[in-house]
Amino acid sequence: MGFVLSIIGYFNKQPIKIKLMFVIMLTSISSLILTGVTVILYEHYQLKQYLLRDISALSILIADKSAPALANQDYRLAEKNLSTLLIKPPIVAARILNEKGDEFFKYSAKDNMTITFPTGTKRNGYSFENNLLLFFQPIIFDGKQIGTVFICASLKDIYTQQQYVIFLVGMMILFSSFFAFLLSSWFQLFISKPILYLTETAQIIASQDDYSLRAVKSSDDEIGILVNSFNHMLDTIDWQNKDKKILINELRESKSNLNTILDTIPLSIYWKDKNSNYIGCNKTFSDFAGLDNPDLIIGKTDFDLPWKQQADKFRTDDRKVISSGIANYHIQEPLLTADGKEIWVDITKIPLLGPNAKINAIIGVMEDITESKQAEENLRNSEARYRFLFEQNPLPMLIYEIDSLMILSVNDAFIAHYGYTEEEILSLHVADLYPEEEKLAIADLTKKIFGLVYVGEWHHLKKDGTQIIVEVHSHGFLFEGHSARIVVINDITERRRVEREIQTLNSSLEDNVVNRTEQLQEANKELEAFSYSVSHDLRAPLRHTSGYVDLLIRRCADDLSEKGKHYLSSIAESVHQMGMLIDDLLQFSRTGRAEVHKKNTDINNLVSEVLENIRHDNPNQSIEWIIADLPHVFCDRAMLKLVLINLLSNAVKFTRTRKLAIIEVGFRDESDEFLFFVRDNGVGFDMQYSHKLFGVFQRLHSTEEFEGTGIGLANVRRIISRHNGHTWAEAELDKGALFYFTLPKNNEEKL
Amino acid sequence: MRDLRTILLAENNPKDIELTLEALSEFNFANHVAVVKDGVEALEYLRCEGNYKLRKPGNPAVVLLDIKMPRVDGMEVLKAIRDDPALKMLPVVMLTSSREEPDLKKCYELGVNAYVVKPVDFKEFIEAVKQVGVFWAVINELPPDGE
Repeated sequence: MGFVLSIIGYFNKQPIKIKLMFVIMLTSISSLILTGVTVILYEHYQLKQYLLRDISALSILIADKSAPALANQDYRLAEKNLSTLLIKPPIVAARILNEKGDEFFKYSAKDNMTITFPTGTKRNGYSFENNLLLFFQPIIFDGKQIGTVFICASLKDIYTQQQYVIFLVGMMILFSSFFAFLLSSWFQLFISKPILYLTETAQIIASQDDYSLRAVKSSDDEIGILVNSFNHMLDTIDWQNKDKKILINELRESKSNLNTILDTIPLSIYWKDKNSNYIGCNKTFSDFAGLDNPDLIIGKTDFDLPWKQQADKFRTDDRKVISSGIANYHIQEPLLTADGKEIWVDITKIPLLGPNAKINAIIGVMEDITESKQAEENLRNSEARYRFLFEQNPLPMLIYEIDSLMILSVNDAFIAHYGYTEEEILSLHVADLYPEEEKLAIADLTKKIFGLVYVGEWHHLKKDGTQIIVEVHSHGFLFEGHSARIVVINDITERRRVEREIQTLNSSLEDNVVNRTEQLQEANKELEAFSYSVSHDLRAPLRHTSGYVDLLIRRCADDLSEKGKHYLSSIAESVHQMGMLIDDLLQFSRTGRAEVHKKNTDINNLVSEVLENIRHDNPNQSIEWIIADLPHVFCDRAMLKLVLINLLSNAVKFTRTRKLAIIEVGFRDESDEFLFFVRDNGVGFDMQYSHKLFGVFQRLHSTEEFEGTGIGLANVRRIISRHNGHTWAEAELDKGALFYFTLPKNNEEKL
Repeated sequence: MRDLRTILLAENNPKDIELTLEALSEFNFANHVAVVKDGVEALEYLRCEGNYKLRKPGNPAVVLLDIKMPRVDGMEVLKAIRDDPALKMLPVVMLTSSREEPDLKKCYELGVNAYVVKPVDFKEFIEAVKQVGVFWAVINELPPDGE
């Protein structure tokens, strides 16, 4: 019994798949065995019947054949008749017995076979004994029994056949079981799979707490219905969960809102039970009490808190509110806080009704009013200060009532400036201070601006009738219960007079400037005419001199002595020099007068143009040029070209004595300007004369040494300064010179 | 050698005339130069009026004009030439002492054909005059007659 239970127990623990297979297999194998056994038993019975029929037919035949032989006692005939019949394999022995039961004929399939035959004659029928069939057939002759045929057949063949059948049936059961196993393990899936899937889904939901998952329905049977019901249940749970979540969130939110409100309002709030034990408070209150968080207040009394000395008083107040059920509003009293400061608080105590409509708690709202108390004090002080400011102000001040325009108060400065006594002034309207033509306007204005701040310029009359110009600043305020304006008066009569004077001076100055400019323009025109005339008229005689000197040398050379020729060549040289001087001077004058036409100019371009000319004019001088990649600058192209011509040809000129001249043109970007430089390794100059370098007609070398008019650098300086730039130079005698000039980047704006 | 055509030289300074003629004579141009002393005479010559009523008609190959002249100056002569239908195509070269920018600009605006500054140096002067003479009196093709 125990064993069966444990088997059932084990079976219960198995997965449904195993159970299903087990049931299917058990059923099919049982029926197979049952069928097999039936087949075997039936076969066994059949075989026996066949044998019996065979033997019976044979015995009848033998009985028939042997009857005459037996009747005649002819043994030989019997043997002849029977021996062939008895050869049938299952027959192991046979006897023919006479009527007395004695053996008449004997046959044995094998000699050593010993069979005990039953004796007696009465034997009839058959029996199965010891794996043998014993068959008796009476021999009838002439209607009476004359003997018995006895045949003994072996059942061995039957058993052999039977074994074969059993083997076949066994094999069949084995193969059928195997086939059944295959089929069942396939078909059970139709039932077990949906269940397994459902189980799996349920497990996932249980483990992840995720009620949004759903089982998939794969059949319309009871499992399908189960899946539907399961999903429906999940829907319900999901809905309930969501509702619950919303509720919880709302609750949480409202609680946190309440906490936020409680902790952010600038009021201290606490609640106590009817025995004045604290039940809760907000952050502000717990801060006052010196507690780290509001929860720590629970269970404390006023005796446990910084204001324990006032505890009795507070508890008496509490009891009054609780016993009377009437709130106690705005009790103002000092309070000692946790950090040892004494502050002023305004306390309101309200009784709280419990569920049984009895007062079982009290809520307290406490406001820190220290600052407003302080402010009251300050106000008192400041009023005194402002009074002082008003009275002692060096500017005249007055206060008047807006409705009646009556003057309510004036300061000492007003009395001093206007000449009224205090009594006189206090009987006047503010409009009385204004000349006739402004009285109406000021009254109107006062109504319009009422309490606003106002700044304006008006005329006032002093007591002696003197009219002054005043700048008034006024604003509305409450003065001793009156809507009033306070006015600060600034007498600007003198200022206006000075301003007028300055204006007059300015306009005459402008006239002067216009005049001077005209004069300057006139002078400029004259200068232009002068230089025009110089360029035409001064050059003509020079040209003539040069022409005639040349003609003299050309045509009359034979009449001249060597000395005369020398004189003539000196004249020619001087004329040439003078021509150059005039040209340069005109150029210089032009750069001073000509308009500067600035445009974006590529300095690289200019330098290469200039270099081309210089190389052409100095083909025999070996010069190493180091030219940087120069920027674009906003400048007058023609003028800047002149600058570069002068500086570069100077560099070439003063390096003429060098085997290899090295001339460098470079620049530096100096934030708001470009700094250009020209460096050479020429003869340089003595720095002590550098101040003369850029002057007109100033030369630091003799004309014999290096030709020139002394105007080139003056021109450079003039052009650069007309571009708002600077020029300077550094040098060392015999080492070379370095010329700088700057051009501002924002030249455009200064145009 | 090509036929040399007449050059009209308008110049008031006798020394300049002499030197210019000297320069031109270096290249055998001198015989073909008509010289007038101022603008009035220049225009009379060109229009065959006054003292030049009887001159052989026909326009010169080129007019060399000084700017500074008494009565009618060079630029006024240039303007009159350009305004005169019979003369407006005549080649005009300013031959003057200096290159003042306003002058230069104005002359070109009035339609001058060339503007030459007389160099102070006589050798250069000769060279300049020669170039002008050769170019205008020999190389350059004149506008068609009858205009």
